[in-house]
Amino acid sequence: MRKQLIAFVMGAALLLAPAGRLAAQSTPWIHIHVQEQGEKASKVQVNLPLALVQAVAGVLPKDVAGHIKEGKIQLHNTDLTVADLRRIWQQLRTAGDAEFVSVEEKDQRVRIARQGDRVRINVDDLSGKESRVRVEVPVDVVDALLEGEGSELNIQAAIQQLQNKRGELVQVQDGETNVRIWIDEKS
Amino acid sequence: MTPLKAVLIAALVTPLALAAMAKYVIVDVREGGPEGTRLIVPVPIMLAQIAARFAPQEVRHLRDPELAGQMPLLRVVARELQQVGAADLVRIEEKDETVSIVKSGGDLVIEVAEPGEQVYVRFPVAALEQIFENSHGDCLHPAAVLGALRETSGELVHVVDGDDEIRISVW
Repeated sequence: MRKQLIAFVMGAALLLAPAGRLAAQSTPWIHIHVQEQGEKASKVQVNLPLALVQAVAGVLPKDVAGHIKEGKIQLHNTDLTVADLRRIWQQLRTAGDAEFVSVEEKDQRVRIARQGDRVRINVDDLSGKESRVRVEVPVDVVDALLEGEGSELNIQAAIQQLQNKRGELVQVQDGETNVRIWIDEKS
Repeated sequence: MTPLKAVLIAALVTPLALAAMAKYVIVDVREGGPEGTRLIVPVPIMLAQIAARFAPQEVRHLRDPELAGQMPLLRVVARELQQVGAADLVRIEEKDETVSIVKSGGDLVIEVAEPGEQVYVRFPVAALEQIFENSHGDCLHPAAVLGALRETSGELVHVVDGDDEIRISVW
């Protein structure tokens, strides 16, 4: 669960955006910090310029892009095709605030809802563990992500939108694991 | 001075002058600790480049099927890293192992440390880009690597593995 959660969040952070606050001329950097306490204590810090991430996204083999395989986003045991997402998004884009994905499993609940100009992704563990994921994605990033055709997600366009965002993207608390992803102008 | 003397002097002086001006790759291998064996091999880069041209085909063109798929990625990373200033790009700390990838000056520095083993690799990003830009398909050209080495100096590789130690530097 923990590794799946981290992988999901790190993948989402590369695709999605936070509540953006300002557009700046300076080079934006994305920071991904993962810290695990306890017996297997470890610390991972990745700091990359978004320009590099965007350029790499353009040449990554499709099967390397983590949870996106053959045009499908894999949300644990629930597979949504990009075509499904695009259809849902086109309808909900104009529908205003709404909860448009809700997956309830025995030990996990996933909710994706639109609130204003943001999409909120919440993942909660229901098995009693201290596990919580909160992601906020500006609508224009989702637009960019789904602007292509067929089963492809336009990751580069989404990252391009991220260039104008600053601030927290993702915060995860999962037992002894903490994940934080944010964008600023510090290397 | 007769023409013959001039030719003889030139024949002696030119290689010495070239050798003095040339850069050397120095490979320093130590096995078995201080009491063990040590091998130091200084190789003039210019000479190695010439030798590389006459080497067998499989040496002149190092092929790796997986390289073809990775080459666009490697080129992009090298190109983009050139634009990056000094930064800690990656740092991984685990109980018995630390890995760091840092852009320092114009160099990419990779360090791995774990009990009994240390790896240090420094390579100029511009040279990396040059190597990848001069590579084609699944083929890496040692001559291009050697050419890129001429643009740098200092220690490039230092590996300590127990009692064994390898240093590769350019001077």
